[in-house]
Amino acid sequence: MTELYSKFSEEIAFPRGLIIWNYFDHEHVVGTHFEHYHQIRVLAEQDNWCFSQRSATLPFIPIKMWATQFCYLKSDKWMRSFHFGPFGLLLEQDFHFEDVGRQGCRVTVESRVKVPRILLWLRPFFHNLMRRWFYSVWEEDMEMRERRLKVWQLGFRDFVGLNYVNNKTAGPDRPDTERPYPIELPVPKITEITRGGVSRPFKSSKKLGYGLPELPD
Amino acid sequence: MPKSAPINEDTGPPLATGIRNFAHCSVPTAFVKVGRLSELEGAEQFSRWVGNHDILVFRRNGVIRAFSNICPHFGGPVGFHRLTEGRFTCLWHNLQFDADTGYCLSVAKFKLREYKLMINDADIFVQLVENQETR
Repeated sequence: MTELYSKFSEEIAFPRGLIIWNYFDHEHVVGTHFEHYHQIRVLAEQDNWCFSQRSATLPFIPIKMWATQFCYLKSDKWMRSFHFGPFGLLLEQDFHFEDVGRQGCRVTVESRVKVPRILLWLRPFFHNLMRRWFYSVWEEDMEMRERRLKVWQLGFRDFVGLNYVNNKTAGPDRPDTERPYPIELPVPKITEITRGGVSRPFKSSKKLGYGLPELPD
Repeated sequence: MPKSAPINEDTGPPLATGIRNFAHCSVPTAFVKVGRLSELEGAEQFSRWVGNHDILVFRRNGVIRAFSNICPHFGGPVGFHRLTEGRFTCLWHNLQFDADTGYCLSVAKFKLREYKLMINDADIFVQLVENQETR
């Protein structure tokens, strides 16, 4: 046997708690990443681990593929993930979250698959596949994290929203950039994801994006 | 979702034309500009941050309205996708909202705030603060 391996690392200006929320918010897989994922169902979940079944279309492989995933937070800076895919393949991933300053984080993802030596020639393909996947999903998550941090610093409360919007009162003069972002798992679920599962709602969407640029003062 | 939900508890049903034209009077200071009518062309909707508010402006059946673009669930963008079959679908977790009422069709307790809106010439204004008493 031999090993296919890839490693990617990015530094971002988001707190570690928000990044871990993002990885454990399994419901957004068929929302934010609706162009990649088709379905997801959480089979079991508790505290810092989750076992799920999901289908997705990977880069360079234009067919829908099913996998089951088990992920757990080994420490508050280290997530391990195991994807059980077709043909008995097991993709093992380690996600390391390293604080950078007060509100930053470096995310390093290592991916490994053990294959027969005869498949060693797949190394470049595996690396390109993981790189394409990592960065396409990463970019979608970046916009989500950016917005999540913005509303969080404005005082957003999950399942409530922003009080000043709801109550039609004046809001904060400025975001609270010091508001801590705790790690609280599991992320609460409200869809059918823990029962029958959820599917992406569109085959295609007219995407209008996160909004127009703000008007000048 | 409550079937008899009012269209707008504050302003009543929208005018038939959908455009409340205040061109005859000056713009109240409590209203702030959110965009231009021309920005509705094409998709018939747009969203934009104004101050600390993210506002979704859309035209449906000739009526222009403004909802909060912030999903009460986790804060996702309600207007990321184009309105389809009278429903907005939040990008992040696919929660759907009725474009006529603002009520969430996925989780009954959620409702999007509707902003009072007015048109002056070709500009669209919304009232961010209606209650001055409490923060």
